[in-house]
This record gives sequence, C-alpha cells and structure tokens, in this order.
Amino acid sequence: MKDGTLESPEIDSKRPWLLLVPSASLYVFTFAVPLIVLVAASFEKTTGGVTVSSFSTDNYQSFFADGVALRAVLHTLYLSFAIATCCLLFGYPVAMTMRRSGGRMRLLLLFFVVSPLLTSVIVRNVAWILVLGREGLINVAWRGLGLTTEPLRLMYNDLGVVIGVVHVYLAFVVLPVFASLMAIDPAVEESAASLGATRVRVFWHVTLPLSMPGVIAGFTLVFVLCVGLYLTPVVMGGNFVVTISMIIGDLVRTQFDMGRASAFAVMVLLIVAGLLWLSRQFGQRYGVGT
Amino acid sequence: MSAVNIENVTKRFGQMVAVADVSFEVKPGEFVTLLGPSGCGKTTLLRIIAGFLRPSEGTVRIGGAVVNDMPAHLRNVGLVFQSYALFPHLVVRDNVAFGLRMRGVRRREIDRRVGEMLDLVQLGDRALYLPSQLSGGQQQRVALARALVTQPTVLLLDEPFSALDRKIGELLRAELKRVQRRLSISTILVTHAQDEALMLSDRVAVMNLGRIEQVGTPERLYERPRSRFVAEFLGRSNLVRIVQSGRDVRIAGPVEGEGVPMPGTSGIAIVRPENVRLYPPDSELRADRYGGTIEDVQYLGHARIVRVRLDAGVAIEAIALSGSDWKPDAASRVTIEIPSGSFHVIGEPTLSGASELDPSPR
Repeated sequence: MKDGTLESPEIDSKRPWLLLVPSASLYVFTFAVPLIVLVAASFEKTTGGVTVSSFSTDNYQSFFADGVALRAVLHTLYLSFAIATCCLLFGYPVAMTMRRSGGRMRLLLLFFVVSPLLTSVIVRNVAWILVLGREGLINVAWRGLGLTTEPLRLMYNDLGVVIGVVHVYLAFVVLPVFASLMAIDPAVEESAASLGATRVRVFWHVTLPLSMPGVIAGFTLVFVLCVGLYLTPVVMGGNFVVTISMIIGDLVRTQFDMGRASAFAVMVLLIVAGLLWLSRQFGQRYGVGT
Repeated sequence: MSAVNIENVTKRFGQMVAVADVSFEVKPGEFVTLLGPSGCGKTTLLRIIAGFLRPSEGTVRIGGAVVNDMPAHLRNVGLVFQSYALFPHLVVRDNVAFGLRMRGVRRREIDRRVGEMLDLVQLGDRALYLPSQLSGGQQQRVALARALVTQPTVLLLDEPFSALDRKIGELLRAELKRVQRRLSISTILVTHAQDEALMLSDRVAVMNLGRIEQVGTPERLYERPRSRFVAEFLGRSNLVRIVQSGRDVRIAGPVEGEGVPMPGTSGIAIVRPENVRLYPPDSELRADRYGGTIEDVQYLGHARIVRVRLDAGVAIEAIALSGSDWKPDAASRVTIEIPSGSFHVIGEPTLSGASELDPSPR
C-alpha cells in the first residue's frame, strides 16, 4: 500500500490529544478494564461461590481436558472457515460486477449487499426460518413440484447457520474486495490481454493477485467475527450446532462458573490473535501493510 | 502487405461519433503518429486496433488479416500506456517475461530473450527490482521492453511520455526512436504533443473531431498544411487574407472579423513566423514589406516571439533569434518582410465562409 500520510493542517492547537479524551476514556472503561478483570477472573478457582485460590490454572486445564469445549472451538473454527469461504466465493463476483457497472447499478448492488446489516438479527433469522424450515418456502415448493417426499434439511444444522451468517457478512467481503479492485489500473489488465493472456489468465495472473489485499482483509474480518458467533447458531442451528460462545454463555448463565467462562473467553481471544497474526503473514506476501 | 490497415472505420458511442470514417495504413517498419487534441478520437482508434473496442463500421487489418472479431489477446500487438501499467506485483524480469509465458515459450528461451531485451533498454541490472522501486523513465522502459519482447506485428504507444518530466521524456523519445529503428518495428504513437510527432514519425496523421484532417510526412504537414486546423496545431502560424497578382502575394487583411471577404482578396494563407523578417522602422518600403508596431515580445532564450500589429490591422508573429545586436521593444515601430514564396494558401474565401475557417477547438 502507498504511504498515505497527509499533511496535517496548520491548526493552532497546543493539545491535539484533547480531542481523543472522550473516545479514549470510553475505550478504557469498556475494553481495557473489563479485559483486565476477565484475565484476573480466569485464574481464580472457586468452589460453590467461594474463592479457593486467586492464581490457579485449573480453568485452563479444564478447557483442554473437557472435550466439549475443545470440540466446540474446533467446530466454531470449521464454521467460521466455511462461512468466510462462502462469503468470498459469493462476494468476489459481486465486487467484480460492482466495479464494472455504472454509478446507479453500483449503488443498487451496494444497497442489496449492505441491507442485511441494517436489519435486526432476530428479524433476519425468523425470516430465514420461514424460507428454510420444514414447512418453509423452499420445502413447500420442492414438494409441490414432486421432487421429493422427504423434507430437505436446510436448517437446524451447519448449513442453516452458514446460510444465515453468509447473508449478513457478505458485505464485509464485498466492500474491501471492491475497494481493492477499484485500485487496479484497468490498463494493467489490458496490458496483460495484449500480451496474449486470455480473460481467465488475466484474472488469475493479474486481477486476483492485485486484489489479494481486499481478499485477505475481507476473509479475516468475517472469520474473526464468526469466532464469536452466538445468536444465529442458537436460532438457526437449534441445539444441533454448538459454538464456543454458546458454551461460555451456558457457563455464565446456568452454571455460574465465571472462572471457567473467563478462561474460555481468554482462549477465544488468543485464537483470534493467532488468526490475525496468520492473516498478517499472508498479507505481507502480497505487500499489505509493508 | 501493410502492418496495419484501417479502412473506413467509424466508432459510435450512442449518439456520439468518436471516430468518423477513418482510413490509413502503416507500412512494415513505419512509424506513424496519430496527433490531435484530447477528444479527437485518436485514443479510441488505438483501442480499436488493440482490440479493446469494436469498430461500429469498417475493417481493421493487422499483418494482412482482418481482426474485427479477434480478441485482444490473439492480435499480437505490443502496447505501452501513459501510466506505464506494469504489473506491480511482479519484478522487472517477470514483467518482461509475461508475454512469453502466456505464449508457452520454453524457460531457457524466455531467459535469453528477456535478458536481451532488458539490455536493449539498458535495464539489465534492474531485473529483480519491483516496478515501485524504479523511476518513471525506467518504468516506461520496462513497459517498452515488455511490449517488444513478444515481437509484435505492431507497437501501439498511448501518450507514453506524457507522465514523465520533460527532460526524461526527451531522453526516452530518443531511446524509443533508436530501439524502433534497430528492430524496425511498425509503430503507432498516439499523442497531443506536436514536437513528439514531428521528431519521431515517418508520417503523421492529424486528427480532429473524429476525422483525419491530413496524413503526411512531418515536413509536408508543417510546410503544406491542408487546413487551418493542421496549420495551427503544428507549430506557430500567422493566418491572413491575401491578394494574388501573378507571382506576387500580398497581405490583404485579417481573417477574423467580417464573414464577407474584402473585394480583391483571393484566398486565405498561412505564414510561419520564422519566414517573417524584421527590419528597422526606417528601412526601404517595398511591395513585400509592411510597416507596423510591436505589440508584444515573448522571450524564449534562444529567440523572441515578436507580435507586430501591421498598419493594415493584421497581427503577425515573427521570430527574432537571440544574439543579434537589435532587440525588439514593445510599442516601437518596425518593418517586416514576407517574401511571396512564404505564403502557403490553405483555402478560398467564400461568402458563407469555408468550413475549415470555423474556429476549431484547439
């Protein structure tokens, strides 16, 4: 990426940081302080509501010993990967279409891509039940056409969760990929064509590599957001899809085990940090953030 | 067989006609320039030849074959853009090798030809640099090498020097001419810069409003322009109404102003400033001399452009080379001489005014 430093305007200000005070204090009280409390809590061992030890790794040991948590984490990562991949496969062509189309068409596409973000998650999920459910639109139509007697299982499984989430998060892939595509000089692709590259090879050798910054950004964003998936799996997955967030929620609300809940949450944070590090490694190969 | 042959090509975008019934050809090894102001259709024409646009009408031939329906990647043309358009994610060597890879040339052969081409543009030591690590001039030389390494039938250059500093652009022009002669490759250059066109081309096609106004050698276009547009687009020129009697040509009056020609005028002619001679005000008055007052002097270093308002009302530009004792001063009197042979007639005045006398966008 190009060095995007802007000349700072000559504002007569001796304390420019003053403007950051409101947001910085919000950040401290809503993020930094809770995080410290969380980490501290994750090392506390309690039995029956009484603190036994203020520094113990028991909570972390239970994360690895207890197969449920580990399996939930792996399943969450699997879901996140599937969702991010689907977003990319469906979103990339949309971004390419937006790049090629004129102003009005581009706005229309943008509206459709962003509109799920403007809708309440509950409304969205209930609407999907009406479409994907046993007596939903698709199954009724399918049966009406005589294509099947058995209802298609479109929800209360991983597929339902993936459909429900891809629908919203598509925007998080489309927007960065679109931005990356818009930064490509069309003359570069035309050069490749005039040098003998077919349309497919122009895409493969030029367009795709040059849009990788957007691809990586979009994929990472969706993946990381998915690691915290909670509501959609509850509604669209029924009790058949278990994510790590659901486990943590259960620990807090029904087992009142704040210590283990905190430790699991810290583990999720570490996983996200690991994912961001991986994404950076990929990004550097394509000249992002250098 | 010509390298490129354009026959009656027209390109419309909706109601707008970008290229109107254009025909010309490029012979093998010839350097042809499409010269014109922005919006004259020259880039559209280049993109039609390259295969990025389809002509609405007419025929495009490259190397003798009709290519109207041939996609760009099969046309075997080399393309160089104003923006260099290098592959930013590939090092110089891989940029140049791209076309050969697409053609499935063997690796050893690729290495040899890429090496030769980089030496030709004097960038042999930059093979492993990324484009962003090179200067503008170097990048454009890589673009040239990349376009030439596949031995295209024709090299297409779209304003290749416009993004460069003047000095670098001039150096690169000389280098382009050297490489073009050396490989004797047929070339079409699109530019709005007349000095580029005059310096590089075997022939120049001056375009205006989607049409070719005139095609010819640089000398012919400069000395014998067919229209006012060509005359004014190439270099400086004075446009005057003239009276002719036998071999003698005299200035009759200005062109602008009234649409009806003055009685006795027999045409419109141009005079190049370098053919106007300046004399002291008290010089002997002859038929081909005119008295006037200096209105304005522009100092260019090697010369001065002197604008003289003749007593007859016409403004004439003349060039006074630096180095002589006499310095023209604004507001002082002067005598100018224009020999009859220095007038070049470009149009007959009519009562309605010939179309080429319409003030054209420059």
